[in-house]
Amino acid sequence: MQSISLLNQLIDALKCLPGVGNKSAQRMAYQLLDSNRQGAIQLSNILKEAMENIGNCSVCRDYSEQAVCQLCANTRRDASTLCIVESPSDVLAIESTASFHGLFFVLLGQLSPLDGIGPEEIGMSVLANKLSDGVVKEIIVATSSTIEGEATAHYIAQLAHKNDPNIKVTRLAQGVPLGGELGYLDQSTLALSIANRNTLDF
Amino acid sequence: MNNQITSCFVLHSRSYKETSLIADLFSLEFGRFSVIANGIKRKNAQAQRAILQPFRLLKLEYRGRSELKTLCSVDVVVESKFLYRPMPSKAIACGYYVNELLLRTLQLGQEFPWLFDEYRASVEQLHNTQDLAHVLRNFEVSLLSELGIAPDWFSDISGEPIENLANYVFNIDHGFEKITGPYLFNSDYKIFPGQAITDLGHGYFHSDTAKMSQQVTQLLLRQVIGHKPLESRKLWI
Repeated sequence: MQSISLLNQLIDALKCLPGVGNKSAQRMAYQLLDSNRQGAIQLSNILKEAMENIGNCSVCRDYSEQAVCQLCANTRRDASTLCIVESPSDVLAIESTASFHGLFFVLLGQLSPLDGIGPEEIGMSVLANKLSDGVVKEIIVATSSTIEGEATAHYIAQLAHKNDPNIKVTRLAQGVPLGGELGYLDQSTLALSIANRNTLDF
Repeated sequence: MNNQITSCFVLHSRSYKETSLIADLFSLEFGRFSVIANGIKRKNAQAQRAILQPFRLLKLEYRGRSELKTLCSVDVVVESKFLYRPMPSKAIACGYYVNELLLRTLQLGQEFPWLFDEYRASVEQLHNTQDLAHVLRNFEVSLLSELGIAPDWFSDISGEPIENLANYVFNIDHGFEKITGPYLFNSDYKIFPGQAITDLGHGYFHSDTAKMSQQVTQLLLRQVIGHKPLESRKLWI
């Protein structure tokens, strides 16, 4: 019996990357072998180390190699506002706007009962625990604008209210995007932006 | 040649690959079926993605002859009353519950035009009413009738009319059975007041027996959905 060559194993392993099929995996493998062995060794080391050491922050559930991630450990951030997002990439997206200075909580998913993702799977007990100390005064729910996201937001609002009736729960505004022309906007968004219109100051 | 569906709802959708989505639909023409929406999660398909959401009356075009159809285009039905208004968040959990019932009871590819109208009316009511339980009970009764397992709400198994103040147990094969005399305690049976049963038939509910009415429909539905717990119930706090 012929054993699978190392090269084939490499190509197969590369296929676990998103959007990489057989052909791309082949090209990557040859590229690394031909001209960038040093880079590949570095990649393999850091990949191994990252996969073994990165866990979830015990406070916000974001990925982190420490028990408490850097964001949560930063005492200069405003602990009284908490932004709840669906995925770690959403944390980066909001951080890159530099307009939010509070702390985050990452759900790692959204409520979708029919797929078996209930409140427990998105860390609602961790959240309830975090809210119980009463430090958080405002929750910004930044879930996506789908029915699942809406259900998640409503659940969080109920949970927060049960814990502290005076807590403020807000949701990201929905409406016309910057640079958007009304003619090209879908009707649902337009309808929402009319319902949630702002008063102009003068 | 594309085929058309004039009225349908998304019951549930799940991601497929990077940018696609598979949606379970409930339609007027074909009952339940699934479509794959290729590339709908790409940025330039955002408008379509905004439309292909549950609790919204849609019309669509599809192609393909296999069980899983391919979605060509989707649009909201303009005449529907709840066109672009999002479902109030309080009602979403109820909507999910109704959807889960349909997903667990209806066979694929069988049409249920009458039930579809009932579903459409229920979704419309969930958008507008505060009394969500009422809407759910009425839909459950419709579903039981469509499935052919609704018992007689007004007379018991001996043909006597159901009395509001008497107590009844449900007998799977026949209907409701009146309890007379001292009732032997048996944990297999649930006892319901007559009021809770006739209310289901009338479609309006007394606040003191509404909870019992819910248990009646629950017990009847268990025959078809089995004993696996309903996932959407977890959304209630």
